[in-house]
Order: sequence, then structure tokens, then C-alpha cells
Amino acid sequence: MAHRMSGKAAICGLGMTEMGRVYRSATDLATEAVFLALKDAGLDKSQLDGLLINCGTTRNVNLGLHRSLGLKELNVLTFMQGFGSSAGQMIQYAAMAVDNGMADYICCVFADDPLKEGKRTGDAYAGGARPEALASLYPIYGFAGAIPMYAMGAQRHMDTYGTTQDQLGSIAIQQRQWAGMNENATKREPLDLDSYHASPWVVEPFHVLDCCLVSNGGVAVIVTSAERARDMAQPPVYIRGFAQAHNHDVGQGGHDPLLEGPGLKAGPRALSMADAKLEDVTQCQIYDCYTYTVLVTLEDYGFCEKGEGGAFVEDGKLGPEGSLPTNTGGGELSSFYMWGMTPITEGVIQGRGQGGERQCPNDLILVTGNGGVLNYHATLLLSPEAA
Amino acid sequence: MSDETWIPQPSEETQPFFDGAKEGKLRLQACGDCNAWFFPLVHICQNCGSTNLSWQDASGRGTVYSWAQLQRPYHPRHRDRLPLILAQIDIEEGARLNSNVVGVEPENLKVGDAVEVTFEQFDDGGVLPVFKPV
Repeated sequence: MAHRMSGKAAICGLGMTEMGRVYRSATDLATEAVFLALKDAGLDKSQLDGLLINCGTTRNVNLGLHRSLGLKELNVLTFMQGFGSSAGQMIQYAAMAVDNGMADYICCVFADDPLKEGKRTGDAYAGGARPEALASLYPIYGFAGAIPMYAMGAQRHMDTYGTTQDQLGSIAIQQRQWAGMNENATKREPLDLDSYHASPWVVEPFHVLDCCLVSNGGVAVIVTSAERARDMAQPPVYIRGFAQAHNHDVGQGGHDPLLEGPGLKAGPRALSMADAKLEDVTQCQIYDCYTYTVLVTLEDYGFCEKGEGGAFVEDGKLGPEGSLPTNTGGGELSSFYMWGMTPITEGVIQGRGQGGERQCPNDLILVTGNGGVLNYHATLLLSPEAA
Repeated sequence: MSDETWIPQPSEETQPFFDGAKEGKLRLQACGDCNAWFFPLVHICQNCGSTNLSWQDASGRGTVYSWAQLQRPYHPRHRDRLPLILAQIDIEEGARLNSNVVGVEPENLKVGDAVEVTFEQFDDGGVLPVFKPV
């Protein structure tokens, strides 16, 4: 039997700004995204009584957003941070809050503005606080940002299981096929293995094309109760199951955080809430900061055995003709990088049946959010049906 | 000058690590109560909450948990030596250290390989612990 929370809340509004080299402040992008979501949902601003806010590493959106939105009164308001898992987490807390009567309509918003005019994409996340003397050795060793750690994850997978560069490349290629059908995707030109291999190395085994885009933009999602969502402007997308799990690499041996992510724990809990089996999932929207993140997450959820992810993805099953359509808008690799909002936006579009030529069976949509280096994880199971 | 000084100025509390490197020792913090070892700096043992921490010389032996190849330089030390092998090393004492593996071609390195500490000397007098295959 499904958990009592399953299907009790739904997503009723979605707002997305322009994405990419949009040189506007993150606060302005967040503000616009919320107004777009209200319009999409057919709601008057006065009906919005909850706001959950998240921003990327620029930290250029904060609690002051409620002033930018001219919201004089709210019943629920907070800033949240769980990195790439934040978006999924916000929707989970919003679902529980509307179900418990704390608020009627809660808007979850993410925006970021790492790209600056005249600044290279590669420098977007440079800078930040100076660490103490020992941690400040990391950049001298060559560790900066997330890329080296995820690249080591991919290399460990290759050494341990024989995973190949072509198999990583096939993930980028299949997602680009989907992006070709998404007019909002940043990278739409077709990609083949030759172009993938010709892409420059960043930290081997990662080419540039193994890494997500960097985007400015904002996304807002409005959550309400299932009852309210039934008679609104857009088809409701019900939240059938959710869970979180968080692992941390605490600088000690004896565990394997690069091969076993927190999806291992979150997946069964979310499925249990929905009283569903993995075989019931008809499409996946997987957080894809890197190609390897998709591979290891599919394994963690049990779509294939641990170690078999390379062969699993290589036959094209994630792509437009495949049996497990995945990242059907192009994902963070090819469409835009809005942290956990990237997979959620596509999950909502697909859940409403508004995917156009890229629409896939949407009975049960797995949406994952991932932050840190496979550290922070949020799972959502979405569906056009409440039960 | 600060741009060319590769090793950061030690603080009072991190001085033992840098002194150790100059003596050819991998000197790290260890907990006197539960024997957990740490890098980088901690003030409270992450394992048991004790503040009974002291600097101890590790064996310098370990295995490669994982590795990757830095292909784009962003620090003066990386110039003219790409690909630079980044690695996480599980030392015998239990900690997992971010470091480099030197003295091996990438095609000859694998997860699980045994390594030991070695020390890179810089022109400015700095010394950096790195690892090499045993």
C-alpha cells in the first residue's frame, strides 16, 4: 500500500526564464521565474502564501526575494541549501507543508548568474573563500571544484569494471539527440563519437563534453494540494513518492563514495512511498552534472547491476528510440544547468504531456537531484495520475 | 613574489605538517582517543568528538583509491607537467588523502596500486608530500 503522503500534493505551476548567457542578476531571474510560474498556474500573486528559495554558488538570491516579488504576507518562507539536491528537497518540504495546511500554494525557486559578460565560462565558478593552509594545498595538487572528483569516480569505475570512454560518450550523444527536439536547449547540433573524442580533455577521463553547461537563468515550481491542483490551468503533476539520502566523504577510507551514491538508499524509499517497483518507471530525469553521474545513478537505483552501467547505456536505451528514455530535454549536458531544477522542469513538462515530439510514456517519472560529489540526493516520483 | 610561492604560509597550527615534510615525514593529526587520522586540519575528532589531537608521523604507505589526469593547468606547478596525476590515497592509518602520484605513466597506474610518500622540493624552499608507486 502506498504511503499516505503519496499523491497528496501536486505541481501546478512552472516558470522558466531564458537560459544561458542572459546577463541579468540572479534575483531578477528568480523574480521573473516566479511571475512566470504564477501566470502558468493561473494564480493571482495574492494567492501565493509560501516561498522556498535556493541559489547556486554565486549566492546572488536570498530571503530578500520576497521583497522583490512584493509579497507582503507569507505563511511559509525560508532559504534552503542542499546544492544539486535543493530543488527536489524544496518540492518535498512544500508537499508536506501544503498537505499539513501550513500554506496553500508554495513556490520553490532557483536562480543563478555565474556567467558574466566578458568572462570565460571556465572561470564562472572561480574564486571564493581562502581555505586554511592545509586545504589550500588542494589547488596546488590540482584539485579545484567538482570535476577532478567526478573524473576520479569515472576512472575508478573504469579500472574496477572495465567501463569505456565510448560508453561515457554514448550518454552525451543520446542526451544531445533529445536536445535536438527541445527548442529551449542550448546545444542542439548533433553529436557523434568522433566529435566526442575530439572534444578537449579537462580532467581525463572527462572531455569538455562529459561536463554540464554553465547557465544563467531562473526556474520556479508551484506546489499545492492534490485537491486544489485538479481544477487549475495546467494538468496536475502528482508527487507520488519522494525521499532523500546524504552520504559524505569524510576523508576516511573504508567506504566507496565514488562508486556507490546515495541514490542506493533514496530510490527504494521513494518507490516504497509510491507503492511502485522500479519496472513501473517509464522515464528518467537524472541529475547529469557529468556523464558519469548518469551512469552511476542508474546503477544506484538498480536499473542494472553495479558495474554494468557502461554496457547498459551503450545500446542507446536512454535515447529517443530507447526503452528507458532519460533526460529527454537534453539534460544539464545539452539543455541548461539549473542545478536540480533541470531534471524537474523536464519531469513537469513530460508529466503534463507537453513534451511535443519528445513526449514519452509518463506513467511514472523518476527525477533525481544530486549535489556535492555524489553526496546530497533527492528523489521525486512524478505522475499525471494521483494513484 | 606571492604568485610564485607555491606552498602556502603555514599557520601556527599547521606548522607541524610543513616541518614534517622538510624532515621527510608525512606528519598528520591523529586522535589520541580513537586513533583516527586526519587531513586537512581538524579541531575536534570527526570520529569521536575528542579534542585530544596531536601530530604524528604516518607510515607513508597507502593504496590508490582513485585517480584522474589533470589536463589543464591552473597553478604554476602544473605547467610543463601535464597530464598531472591526481589521486585519492588510502593511507595505512585509515585517512583518505587528496594528493598526486608521480613517477609513473598513466597507462601503468590502476586503482588499488600500492604507493608510498615522497617529497617534491621547490626552488623557494617549499616541500610538498606526494606519492609514488612502490
